[in-house]
Amino acid sequence: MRDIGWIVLKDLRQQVRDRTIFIFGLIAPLAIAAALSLAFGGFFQTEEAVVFEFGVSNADAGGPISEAFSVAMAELESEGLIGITFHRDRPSLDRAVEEGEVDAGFFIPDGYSRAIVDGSKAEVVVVANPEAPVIAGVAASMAEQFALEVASASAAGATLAILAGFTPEQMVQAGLTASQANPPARVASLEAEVRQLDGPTYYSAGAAMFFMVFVVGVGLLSLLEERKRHTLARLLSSPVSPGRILAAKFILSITVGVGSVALFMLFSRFLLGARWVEPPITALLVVAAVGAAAGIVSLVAGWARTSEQAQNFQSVVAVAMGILGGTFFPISGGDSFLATLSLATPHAWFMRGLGDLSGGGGLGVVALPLVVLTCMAAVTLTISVLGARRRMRP
Amino acid sequence: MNTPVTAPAPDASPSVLQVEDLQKSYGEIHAVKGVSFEIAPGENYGLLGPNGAGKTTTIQMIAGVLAADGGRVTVCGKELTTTTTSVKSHIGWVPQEVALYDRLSARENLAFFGRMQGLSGKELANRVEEVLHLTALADRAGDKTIKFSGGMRRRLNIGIGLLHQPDLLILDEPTVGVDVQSRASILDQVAEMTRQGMAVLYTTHYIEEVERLCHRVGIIDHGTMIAEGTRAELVKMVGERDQVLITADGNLSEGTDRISELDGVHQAGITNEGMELLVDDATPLLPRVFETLTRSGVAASGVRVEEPDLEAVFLHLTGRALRD
Ligand SMILES: Nc1ncnc2c1ncn2[C@@H]1O[C@H](COP(=O)(O)OP(=O)(O)OP(=O)(O)O)[C@@H](O)[C@H]1O
Ligand SMILES: [Mg+2]
Repeated sequence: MRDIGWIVLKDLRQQVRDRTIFIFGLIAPLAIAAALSLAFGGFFQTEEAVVFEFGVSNADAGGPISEAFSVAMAELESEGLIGITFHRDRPSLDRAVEEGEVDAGFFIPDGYSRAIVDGSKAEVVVVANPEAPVIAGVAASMAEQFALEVASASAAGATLAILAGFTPEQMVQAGLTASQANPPARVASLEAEVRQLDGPTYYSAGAAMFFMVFVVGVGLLSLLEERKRHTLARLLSSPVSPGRILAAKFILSITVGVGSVALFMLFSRFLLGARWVEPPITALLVVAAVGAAAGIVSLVAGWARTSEQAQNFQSVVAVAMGILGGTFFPISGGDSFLATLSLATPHAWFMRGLGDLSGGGGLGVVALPLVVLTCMAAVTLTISVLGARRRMRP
Repeated sequence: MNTPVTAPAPDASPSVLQVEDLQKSYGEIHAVKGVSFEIAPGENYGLLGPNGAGKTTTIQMIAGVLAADGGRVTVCGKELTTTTTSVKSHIGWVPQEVALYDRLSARENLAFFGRMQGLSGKELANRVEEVLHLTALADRAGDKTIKFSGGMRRRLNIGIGLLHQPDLLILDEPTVGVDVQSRASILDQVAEMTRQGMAVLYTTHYIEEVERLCHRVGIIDHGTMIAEGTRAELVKMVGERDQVLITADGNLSEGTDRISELDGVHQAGITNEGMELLVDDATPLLPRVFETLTRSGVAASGVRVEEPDLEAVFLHLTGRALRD
């Protein structure tokens, strides 16, 4: 087994020194995902939100509903969506708003929780700075949204449900809808296509898959290259069986493919705000998708006579599958023939798997995409390995 | 240069390499048609033949790189095929083409192929350094081989074949493109290794190398072994004849055709420089040769009469010059 490892390591070293792999594996997908995200999705949505600095003053200390409000705000802050400062009383809150320390303030009057539960009228007071009307609007609609939640919950007579049903995202979403109306609505329409993937995540996943296919044929390509440069003959003269050399080449493909997706996921998380959930299951999806892509590329590139030709075949497959697989534009909801065709690509199943997973639910919810990808990988890899065996000569 | 090399005792240990009736076709081309020979430990065996004779094809089958269509290769008593990996470690093969990784340094190339030969740890590190010194590449060991000159690449190419100190070293035209100095040092090293007991299979176009290095020579043409023996044995086949080397230009094919019809001319072949003749006695014949050349439109500018060498043997056996 160790000889296989040495061959893979040697090839990785060569690839790293070549650098093209970084361009396709990391830089290109980052650029494309950022561009698409900017054009179609709520790109930097989170960073814009963090511009809002809110003050909170709670005169209803100890009340369950006012506590829920404070907790929700604190949670938003911890996610980096907004900034929060707490103030002792109404006058200090007013002063903070006036002096521009915070963009807007929320004041919860004494007896607020009791009034809500009793069914009498009670409101969160929004302290606004007239010089910042947009932020005032955001604050007002957040308060409004909260009031609506509270009203519907209390109408049902279930005060506790307020705490459960209230999510910070809903609040900010509502706030942004009120103030800017557009980007979140677009995000929502994409989310309808691929279940709950948000814009940055959707485009990052798509770009990762798209560009991964450009590098995943590296095993077969390096085999052709070694044959051209006669080093394959040299390897064949050493006490390493041809099967192991071949195995090393396919392991190289999978390693580079998984590596490029993993690295890209990491970068896109911090740079683009993509959200990757349940890492172990996402990892399974990645490995299966890379396996399938490696198999398909090797199958097609296996027809090539030279490594240059194989490289071209790989690019053609990458572009074709990228478009068909809906990595940039969701196809599943569109024309039904295309939608059916897209199911032949690992991309479509990978995106679907990520979407299913985004709502939580663990391995069970991605069973179908995972099984389909694994079968694709098994079949295509087996055929291409068998085909590549004829290359194992000088 | 023509000092005979002494062969190891014939009854030494059993042969390191035994080749029986090797066959190989590439589609229509029957490249190797039943080649057989043996090499004893410490023996240097030269395979001599013109371009396309089947030397490389034969050697690739012996190295276990190319699957034979028929026949049998036995190395150190064990049969070798493309899949008998353990037997391959007895062999160090230096391919005709330089086979290196461009983006790896000389040291990295050596270390990698050393690992492929099963070397590791201290032993690997030592061997890599030894080979770097042997090939005079120690001061450039960290450079990527893409920056090497053709000769340096050749030297490293040979070095890789020596890493694991094989029982049988196979060199396929190792000195092509190497400068005179490096070539001499490569030949010295090969001679030294045979003295230490390594068996060597050596192919080349350079007759001088074969005459200097090899204990025995097999002459191969069109995929067939046409003669085999020590230099003395082979030269004896030509008999008491003179070898005439003419530097010439012009209509060489008509010239050789007409000359070969002359009485006392045994063979005539075209070479890179002009032509090569095998004649019974050169002195009385030369005036008629030059007269014939002039009439055929050949301008001769020089002539040398020599004792027959391996080149003469090839001309004698095939009617063609070895280097045509
Ligand atoms: N891969 C191949 N495919 C088809 N024909 C081949 C292949 N390799 C060699 N041949 C043919 O087989 C014959 C023997 O070639 P080989 O390379 O063994 O000759 P050689 O004696 O090594 O010649 P040289 O001195 O030029 O290296 C030639 O006719 C050659 O064209
Ligand atoms: Mg050759």
